Amino acid sequence: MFNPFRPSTISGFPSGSVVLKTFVRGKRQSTQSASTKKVVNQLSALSASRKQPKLLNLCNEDLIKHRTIVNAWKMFKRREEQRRHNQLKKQYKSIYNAMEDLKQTSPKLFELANAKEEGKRFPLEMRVPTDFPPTQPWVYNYSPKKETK
Amino acid sequence: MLSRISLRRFSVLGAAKAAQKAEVDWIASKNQWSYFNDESYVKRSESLKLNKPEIRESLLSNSSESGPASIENYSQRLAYHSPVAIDETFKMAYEMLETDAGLIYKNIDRFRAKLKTATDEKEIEFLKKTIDKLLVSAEISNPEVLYNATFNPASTLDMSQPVYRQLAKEKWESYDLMITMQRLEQLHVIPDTLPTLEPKVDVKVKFPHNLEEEFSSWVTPGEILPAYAVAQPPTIQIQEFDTVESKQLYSVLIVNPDTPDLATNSFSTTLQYGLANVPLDNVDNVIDTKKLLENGDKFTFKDYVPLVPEKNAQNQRACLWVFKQNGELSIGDVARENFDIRAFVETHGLNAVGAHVWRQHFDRSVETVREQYGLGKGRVFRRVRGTKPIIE
Amino acid sequence: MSLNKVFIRQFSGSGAVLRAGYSTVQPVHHLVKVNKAALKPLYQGVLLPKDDIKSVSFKPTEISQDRVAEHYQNTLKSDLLLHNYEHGATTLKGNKKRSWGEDSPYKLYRNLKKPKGVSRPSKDVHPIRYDNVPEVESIVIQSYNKDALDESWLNISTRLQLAQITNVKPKQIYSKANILPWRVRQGKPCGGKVEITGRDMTQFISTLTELVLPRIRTFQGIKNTSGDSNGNITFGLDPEDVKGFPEIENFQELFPNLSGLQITFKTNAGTDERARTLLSSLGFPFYNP
Repeated sequence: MFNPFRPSTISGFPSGSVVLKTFVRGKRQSTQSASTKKVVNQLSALSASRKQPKLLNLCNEDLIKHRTIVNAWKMFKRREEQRRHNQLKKQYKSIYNAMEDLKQTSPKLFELANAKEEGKRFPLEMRVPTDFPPTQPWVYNYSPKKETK
Repeated sequence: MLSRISLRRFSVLGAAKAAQKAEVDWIASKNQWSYFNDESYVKRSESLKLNKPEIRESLLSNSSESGPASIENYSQRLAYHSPVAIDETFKMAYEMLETDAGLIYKNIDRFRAKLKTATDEKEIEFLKKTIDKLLVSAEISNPEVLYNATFNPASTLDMSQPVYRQLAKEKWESYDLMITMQRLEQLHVIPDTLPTLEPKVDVKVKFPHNLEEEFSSWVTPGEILPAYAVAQPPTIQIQEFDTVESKQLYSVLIVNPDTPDLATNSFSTTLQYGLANVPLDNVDNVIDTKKLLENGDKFTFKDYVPLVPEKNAQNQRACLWVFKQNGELSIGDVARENFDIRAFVETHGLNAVGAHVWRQHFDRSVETVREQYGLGKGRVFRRVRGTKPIIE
Repeated sequence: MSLNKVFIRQFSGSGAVLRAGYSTVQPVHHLVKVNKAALKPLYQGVLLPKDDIKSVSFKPTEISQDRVAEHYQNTLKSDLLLHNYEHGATTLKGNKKRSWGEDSPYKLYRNLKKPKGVSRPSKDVHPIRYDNVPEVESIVIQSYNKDALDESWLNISTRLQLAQITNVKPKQIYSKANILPWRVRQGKPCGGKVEITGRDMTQFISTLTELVLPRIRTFQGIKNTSGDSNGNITFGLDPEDVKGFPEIENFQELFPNLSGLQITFKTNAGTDERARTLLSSLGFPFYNP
């Protein structure tokens, strides 16, 4: 296996051919082909090692300031969440009360109101709001395309 | 849709909101967290202040040109840069949290007023607990308190404040408690001495007569100590985390369950040290030499004798148990040898709240310590071949 | 706690050795849970929670406005509550696994019988109230690369493509079966898979609905038949469609061989119909195949 007299072979070259490594002064030349380099680059882009941002070294005061800011932010988020929850609860209760009311006053309308709407879809024109909406945000005279068959 | 709903909401709750807002404004103007010792309003202790004035200045006011005061090295301080806009954001956050704390203090006032008129024992206990909880939640996000608890040693914190006790308890539970319980279980202190332990207090032990740093600091549970390092009675710190109003009485036992008993080819338990009726509270929580010199005779029902393992005996455990007493105890004469700790605990109605353990084996200082305590020369154990054949 | 020889206390050393020992688990006598990792000095830094700024894995999360999440919270949630409200609705029991009976110990401890009529148990369907309004919990994106079965390095590009699109490092997936005519062998890498939640998820939704899907000429929408009957909707994108992602579009020479995506929306809607309405509210079109 480690016979010094046997000529070294490298996969990819025909066995028997000797590859001599000659020293080149200056910049090291890569022996990889362009496509191999590309794959190696892709792999290194995928792995997270050595790409972690440096750990922030805060002084004691700034660390406490940061924790205070985080505490306040958490409190804000918690209240926001609670507010939304309460609002939805109120909405649910008023839907319930309205339906109860309708059930007493007009059973027929109640049946219609409580019917399941299978296949209901939101209009595609309803977009997520942006800071800079288009000049014409809503097409008022829009009518969905007729199915041609 | 949202705006319509919120509009309606505001119109309904308008009046209540306005009243609440006025209250909030009033509390904000009171500047809650920098408000100390005022009779007219909630009393706050000075110990809730950051204890170093220059750091307090640099924490609460904007970062100065000369850099943060907590960095002592001058060139490092100049080279330090704070994150962008941290001061402005901190100010906003501080105001928000302070207003919230103000509301909590307002609540505490109400509960305190209730407590003054309350007569039922259960109600009083409930009110006290609630007030403690509220006091913690009012101060736990105060940056000054956070700074003190994070960067100052625990011994400098004012343990009469519920918030510091809460923070100390969290710290204890995250490390020291687990170490203690692991060692007690691994070294079979539980169940060899007492069946189990539900830890309530942090028990720390040190031997201050030692000059070497290695033995004069707090002992890690399970450590093996030489005889000369334990030659004098230990200083015991018993940190309670619940509020103790007037003094609570504690008793402390150190037992050695590994005294060789040749007659039965087994071991017996020896009582090495017995203290009872030691009054402690949240702040005054150490049984040290000073206290023992002053009132030692009152507390001590069995004088301290260190463990002196004889040559070739196994490692011996010094098991320290701390008990909470329901009232004052009168303990008569207790024999040191063949001490039955379970019976002792049962007869006196003691409640184990904490424990500690260290180990010892024979070393060259044992003979000196034996002489010091007048115990005579120690035995040397040797293996003796049995007279009976192993296979009959 | 460890398996060890029973603890015999005896002063003489040989007695315990001569006695036959047996393995036992020492009982724990106290109520404190000991986390051994937390006691090791080496682990102290690793055990910090990830949102602590001192932790090595700290990553600031809330760094910009989340349009899609805000739109959902402010507008869609109340609409969805109203739409899904059904007066007097009760929980529909799912088809569950059945007991074999209790008249014999063999039946008592036997694995449960399959549900009636079907092979798999189904979940209960709860009526929608204010605390369970349908929402997208996560999105699973999977990409299969057949060519990677022969040359495993081809899989790198597929996973990088997923990472580029989603901002999350994907997991490698491996083929499970041996199918010789297709040259599929067990344990060969054949693609990538990634599950995104939170801000990455909403960013992906907005990219998909605002940039990618509108530019696909042949795209009609998600099929109205799609879904696993538990409220999870899946649809696929061709390699040609994947080019529409701006993260890929601008670096096309880096991705000569794109692979298609299989996108699954995991929702807590309970039924497919509710999940479809939810997705349509976020801007996904649907069509009848």
